[in-house]
Amino acid sequence: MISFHEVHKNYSIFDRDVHALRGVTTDIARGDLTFILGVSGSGKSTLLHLAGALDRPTAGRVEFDGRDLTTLDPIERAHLRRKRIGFVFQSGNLLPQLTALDNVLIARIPSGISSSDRQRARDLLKRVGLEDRIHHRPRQLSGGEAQRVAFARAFLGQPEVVLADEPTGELDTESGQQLMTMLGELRAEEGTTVVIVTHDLSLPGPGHRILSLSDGKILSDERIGENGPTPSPKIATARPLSSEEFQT
Amino acid sequence: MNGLFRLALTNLLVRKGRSALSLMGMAVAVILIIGLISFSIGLRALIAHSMGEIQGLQVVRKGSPDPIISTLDQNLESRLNQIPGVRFVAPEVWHLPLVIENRFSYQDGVDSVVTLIGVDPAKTRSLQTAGIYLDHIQEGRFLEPQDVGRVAVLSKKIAETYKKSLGDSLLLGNESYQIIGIYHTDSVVFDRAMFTPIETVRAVRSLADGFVSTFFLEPTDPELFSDSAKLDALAQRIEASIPDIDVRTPGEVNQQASFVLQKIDTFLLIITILPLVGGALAILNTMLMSFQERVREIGILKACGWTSRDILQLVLYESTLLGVLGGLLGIGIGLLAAEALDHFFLNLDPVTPAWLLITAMGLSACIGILGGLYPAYRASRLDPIEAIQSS
Ligand SMILES: Nc1ncnc2c1ncn2[C@@H]1O[C@H](COP(=O)(O)OP(=O)(O)OP(=O)(O)O)[C@@H](O)[C@H]1O
Ligand SMILES: [Mg+2]
Repeated sequence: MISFHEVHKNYSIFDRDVHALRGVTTDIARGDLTFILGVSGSGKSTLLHLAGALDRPTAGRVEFDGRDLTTLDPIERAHLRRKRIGFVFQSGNLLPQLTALDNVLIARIPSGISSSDRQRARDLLKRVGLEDRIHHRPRQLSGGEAQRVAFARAFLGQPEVVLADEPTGELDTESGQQLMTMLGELRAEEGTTVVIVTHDLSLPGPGHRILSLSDGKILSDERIGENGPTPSPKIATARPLSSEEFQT
Repeated sequence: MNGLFRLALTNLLVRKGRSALSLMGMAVAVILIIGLISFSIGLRALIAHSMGEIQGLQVVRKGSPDPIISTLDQNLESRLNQIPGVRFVAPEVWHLPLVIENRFSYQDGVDSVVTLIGVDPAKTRSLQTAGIYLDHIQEGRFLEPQDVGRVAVLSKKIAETYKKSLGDSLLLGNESYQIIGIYHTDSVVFDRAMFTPIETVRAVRSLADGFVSTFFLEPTDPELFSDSAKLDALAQRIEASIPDIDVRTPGEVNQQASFVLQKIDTFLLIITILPLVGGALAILNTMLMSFQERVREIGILKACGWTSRDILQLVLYESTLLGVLGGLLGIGIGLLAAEALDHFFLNLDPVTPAWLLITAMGLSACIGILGGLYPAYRASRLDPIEAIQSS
């Protein structure tokens, strides 16, 4: 679905270069639930942004369904994001001036909102348990509710992949758990590929993959089966370990 | 309703105070623009109305800017009459009395100034264009050939200025004139005149019998009244056949007036640019402020698949809406204010035709677009990553 080939990402602030990603090669398979772990600054968000065509790598290739994202122009990337990708960020996902329903429909505003869009938006809000919050504005919602609206929005266009960057980062443990449970259900119903950046290892349920990053590189890659951990390191990377990686 | 447009409206409504302020700014700009332009139109109409009815030719001594100081001789009349194309010639002697009703007339402003025009009643009456006075007699009558001495026909304005009615006397210098007729043309040019027999003015100014200030003449072909090119040609022919005279055509007078009007228009145009720029700056400021507050929001929109063009459109919709709504407000307030001013103070008759209102709306939209261009460009160029990382 999404594959990274020797992806590097540098940011330059003033005259200093920050190497956010240093040669990441991996594959995110269709239908997978992938967690990305790592300490602050390890490059998790950067990886997610590249996967979602929100940014371009400094070197290497990111392919989305076989298409090299680096060859797409900004308009093509915007269209890709609108039609095939859903984003959820840590907080501030919603436009404060719009109701929950309108926030879910945001991607459709420029092209025109159809009644089936509207129906689907109501449907999704219902499925995330917010049927009585449809016309509330973000400041009338709790943090957990706001994140649920954000997920409803991410799923609106039946995207192939939903990318979430620490969606529970600002929630208490219980709301976080509820959100993850809800996400699990949505994912199962919609059959969507989901990638979640998180600090919280207590969240992952069975049947998923954990990719951990350190200093811009993949530190480990484990697949957890239905019956507990089945370590399958590096399988998905389909490439021999470099000596550098071996040391870390 | 278009979704982008609705969101733009929502965004303006969310920031009510600020939107209201820039709406006011726009309104003030539009009021100024409408005010200035309708003032110009009013002035133009006033002048056109005043000039429009001068149809004949006026013969003066070469180089005289005004008939008052022009000196001609009665024997010119027959020479003028012989020129082909000239139908009728009427001599006039002009006088500008400085003391009226024992007051220095200029002292009370231009309204109190009276031009005393001595005419030959029989000849003036046979001028087609004398109709302007004959037709506008409101009280009494115009001069008749048998009128002699100090009898006068004057405008209603002069009568009002000096609080006179028909039958009263008006004192010019030491001479008292009996008012036998009052006319009202409603033209600033004609309503400054007072008519009396030509001999009377000659006597007052101690002039020789044959003295004439100006001849008023009319073409044989009435079509020339409406064809300024042909009238100009006739004027040139007369000037060519008689030395030492200038022949004024209404076109010339109009030209002078339109020259002044052009100057005024240029001046107004320059002044009009100021409120335009002011309005655009007000909108620019508003839009830049809201752009800075909404950086993250724009990042979210881009993450959701909005293109730069969508963002550009949204911001331009907002600024254009500000412009148009401000324009409407300005037009509303402007029309009310004009009514009020006209009613209570001035009698300027400001003219506000529909095209001006439409133009004002168009300009308002342009101001909005102009003021929104830069913020829209900035917003559309925003890097989504940086936008999302900003809090
Ligand atoms: N826009 C940017 N400009 C400059 N440097 C950046 C930018 N975004 C990220 N970085 C740097 O790149 C590195 C990786 O950042 P990234 O946001 O991917 O980390 P992260 O793993 O998501 O961290 P966190 O858990 O704190 O969110 C960090 O050192 C960060 O400072
Ligand atoms: Mg991050």
